Amino acid sequence: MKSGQAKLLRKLMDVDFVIHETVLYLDGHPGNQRALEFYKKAAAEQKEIYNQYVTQYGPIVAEDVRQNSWTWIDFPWPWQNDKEVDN
Amino acid sequence: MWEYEKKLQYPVNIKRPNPAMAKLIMTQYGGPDGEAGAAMRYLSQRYTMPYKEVIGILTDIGTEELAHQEIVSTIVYQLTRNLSPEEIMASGFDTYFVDHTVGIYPVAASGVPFSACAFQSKGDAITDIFEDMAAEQKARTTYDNILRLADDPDVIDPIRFLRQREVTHFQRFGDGLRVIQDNLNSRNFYGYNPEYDP
Repeated sequence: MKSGQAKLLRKLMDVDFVIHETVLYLDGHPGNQRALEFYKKAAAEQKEIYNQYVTQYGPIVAEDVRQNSWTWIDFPWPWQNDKEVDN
Repeated sequence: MWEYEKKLQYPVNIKRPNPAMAKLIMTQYGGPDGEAGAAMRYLSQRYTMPYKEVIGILTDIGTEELAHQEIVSTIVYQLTRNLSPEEIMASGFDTYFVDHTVGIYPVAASGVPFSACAFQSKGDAITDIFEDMAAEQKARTTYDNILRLADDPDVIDPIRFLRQREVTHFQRFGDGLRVIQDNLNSRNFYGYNPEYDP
């Protein structure tokens, strides 16, 4: 994975984790407006990064495939680091 | 990673409780050929699978099996609503009830809890794909046996859907077998293990 892709992926992972933590909190505190506003802001930011990533580099879920070939199955899968050979 | 979708893959709407049937259908959640074992099997095998097509098949079918656990659990849940102790005793559901009340627990119809011994991750592409194809047929047989014993159309309908998915998955794993064999020496498929040998 090239460094530009790795960097944007890391950015997406970070904002996804922020959202996930907020979701867990909101599950137990559904009436907390401040948490809800925080969630909405993070979700809007996430959408932008997500769209940029899938357009530029390929799918996060299978339904994201925008390319003219089935890029869903392309290497690397998440457990494969840079030492893996692409084939 | 995974994210939960708040919907079933196929609708379940059972109006008539039937604890005896629930005990049988629970086997497709936690029994020897159930959906829990199926998901664990495919999602465990995919890491060392060398071919991207087969990694995709294992990932996507493994994920679908998680959705099937939810359908089977939903069927069991709806079959065990509003039961009196008398109905529980008369139905044979008492042996489950005493340990789990009406909670959903992965267990075979015989009462044996879910065991990882019900599946393999052998680290050999050919061995694993044949295990997967056999697993789909074993689950299909179990669904056929459930259909032999079920008489409620509300139960039969989602079970027929799950049965058909076993047939479809068998076909897709067949595609995987072809990909694996195309990558091996056609004169000796067993000459080396592409998941281990260099």
